[in-house]
Amino acid sequence: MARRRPTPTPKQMTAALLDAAQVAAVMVDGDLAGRIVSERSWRYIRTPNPKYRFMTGDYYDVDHASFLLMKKTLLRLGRLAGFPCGTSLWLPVPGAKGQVSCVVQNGKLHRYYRFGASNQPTPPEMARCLKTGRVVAAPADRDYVTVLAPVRDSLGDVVGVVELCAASPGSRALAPAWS
Amino acid sequence: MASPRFAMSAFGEWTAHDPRGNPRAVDGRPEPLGSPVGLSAPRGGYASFRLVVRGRGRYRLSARIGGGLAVDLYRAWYHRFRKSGQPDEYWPDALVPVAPGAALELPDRDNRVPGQKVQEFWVDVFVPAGARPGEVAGKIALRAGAAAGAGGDSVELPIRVEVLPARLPDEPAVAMDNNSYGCRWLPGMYPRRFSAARGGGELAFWRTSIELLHHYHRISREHRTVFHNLGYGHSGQMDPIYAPRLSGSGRRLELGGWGLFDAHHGPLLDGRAFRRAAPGLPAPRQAPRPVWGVYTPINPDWPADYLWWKEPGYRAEFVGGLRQFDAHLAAKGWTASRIEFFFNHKKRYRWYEWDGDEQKYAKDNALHQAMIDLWEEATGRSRVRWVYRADASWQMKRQFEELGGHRNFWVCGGFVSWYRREIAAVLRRGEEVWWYGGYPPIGAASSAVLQNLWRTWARGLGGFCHWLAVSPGADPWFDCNGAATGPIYPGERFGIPGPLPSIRLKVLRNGIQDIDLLDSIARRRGRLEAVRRGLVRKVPIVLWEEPPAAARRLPPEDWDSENLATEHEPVMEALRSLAPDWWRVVRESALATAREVR
Repeated sequence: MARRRPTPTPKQMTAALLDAAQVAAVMVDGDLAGRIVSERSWRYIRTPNPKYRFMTGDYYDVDHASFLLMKKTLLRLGRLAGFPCGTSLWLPVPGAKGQVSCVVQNGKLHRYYRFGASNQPTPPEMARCLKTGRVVAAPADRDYVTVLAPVRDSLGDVVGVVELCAASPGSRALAPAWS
Repeated sequence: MASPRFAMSAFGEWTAHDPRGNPRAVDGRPEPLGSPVGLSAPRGGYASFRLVVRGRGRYRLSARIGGGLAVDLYRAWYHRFRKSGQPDEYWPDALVPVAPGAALELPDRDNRVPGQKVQEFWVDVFVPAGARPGEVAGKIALRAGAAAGAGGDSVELPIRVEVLPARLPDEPAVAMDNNSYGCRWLPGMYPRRFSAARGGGELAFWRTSIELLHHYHRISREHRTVFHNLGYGHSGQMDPIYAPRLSGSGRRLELGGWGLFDAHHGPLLDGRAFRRAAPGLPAPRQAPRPVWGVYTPINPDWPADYLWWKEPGYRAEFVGGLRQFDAHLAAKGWTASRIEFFFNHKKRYRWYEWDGDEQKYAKDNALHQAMIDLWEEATGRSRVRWVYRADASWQMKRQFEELGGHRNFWVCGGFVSWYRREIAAVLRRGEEVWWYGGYPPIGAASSAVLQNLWRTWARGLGGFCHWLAVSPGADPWFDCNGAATGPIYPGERFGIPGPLPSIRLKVLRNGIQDIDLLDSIARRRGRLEAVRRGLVRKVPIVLWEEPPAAARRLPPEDWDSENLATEHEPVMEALRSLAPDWWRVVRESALATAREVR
């Protein structure tokens, strides 16, 4: 009979995610990240139409090849952890100071993404990651264990953040994406 | 002799009254039905009216009718609408079944309407398929106060029902669909039902979810509508009642652990679910039969891992997994319902790079085509009734051209009205065409719910998907938002562990019934198109339009709500120019046709 793997503690999970985040900081290509979202999409994210709130989503478009390459990289990074781990790429919204947008995500584990939101204020720990270029463990949370990795481009600039997110052992049941 | 404290009056189904007895302005002049209340119904169908009880104190209602007919009584709930700086408004919609002899009171303490003087009821008279044509008498009786025992008020309202010789077909001519997403909304609506199942652990949770979803199928079927429930979210993740378990990968991918999937889908696909009614509602009036169609768990990340997309491993997992899924359905004999190969994800939610649903960019067609190729490789020779469902909006014209010819089931957005010729060509190819939108809010005219039914049948389409029908809002009872996404209500606050119908659902059912009579009789006589054309001339609803200038000048990638000068979201905007009783011409035509049947 197969032996059940013991559930890792939050501390063990954080350690595993920190390791994966170090790999992400090396592997995730910031130039590729910058080619994913179309210019028109950024324009509508930055300046939504006040009358037609769905227009930003309607105009959202990505470069297929860049998106797919990034998604596969993130999927592989998520599997480094050894337990279910969601991975998302966040980029600052060009021309909108203090705002970030989720650009690629996998699975249902995500701490920051709000369904349907095209942008949101940068969470403090994400701002710290963007500013310092260091891996950051997010503060303890009832539902999630989260670590953030900086994404650099060929100029050495930090242009984004990878969120690695796992369900905390004591989390409430997490719904699929409908909720 | 003291005058009775109670009075009853009957009105047509398209007239609502507020709790003070005032008819609703948007419903036009009320249509009193007099006494006796004269009704006409085909065999296997319903005739309905609204009963307004005026008075004060306790009372009981009962109904009697002959000829094997049945009367169902429902108490209308008055939903409170909060108006900033104005008095609250109350309008009826949700319908609570009245058990025979149940104690009622006016004003109704539960509904908490200040100054309530009347209580509206919905009365359904059902005529069994085997009833004898002719006239049948019945009555509604009210006993008040001591008369609940003896010696108090007693008021009666006689009914006379003309049973028409025509028999309603089992399968509606158009599928009016109630759509929904996932099952995580159920515990919030039915906390007591889930609490009772808590001791059974996770399995009991899923079985309770399945039981409740089956009730939504049942209530939809009994109102001549269809219910759809999409399991996976935009991420591709889903709860275990929607898919078998996956194990292994690549060539060794295996589907197993079918228990919850089969418990959920089996009774729908073989019709067993319809042997009984949803709680509190009348026993099924139709013989059980399989559902019209179901979504599947198939999405970009199931059964294949998206990590392998565009690699040989994706094809191995997708085709291999789909063949196992198909073989399971075939082995179970689940071959009557449509099995919908459908992608619902949207790139705006950031999980995938292409739109499965309502695609805006033509370049995404190539990904649909790639998926179609895999699906056809897996299921091309299947006995299962697979269809490739595409919910098309911006790009529908191009999708018809590039993605047609694949057992297509198109569900089109509101732009469908621009494409009369293209739709005709798609229908000639034998493909199914529905369109989609929303229910009207409670505040719209009572007959507004019939507008999209009319457009569906008059355009020759097969169905209409109400994109969300189970979500009446956080507090539909005392702080109602109009419930445009929820004409089916949770019954738990009334002690009913299942869904409740509404006036909108009843009005829609009766309209579907009219269409079914017209359609089935005209079809038998080879006169369907002539009958349709004749009615189209009489109903002042525009069916087909020229696209606006921007749509002719620009590619769909550049269309938006601003340059098209129209909202394209599936929100029902009821035509206000229509007379509130505009459906009467359809009803009278249906009844006249049904009278001619021998």
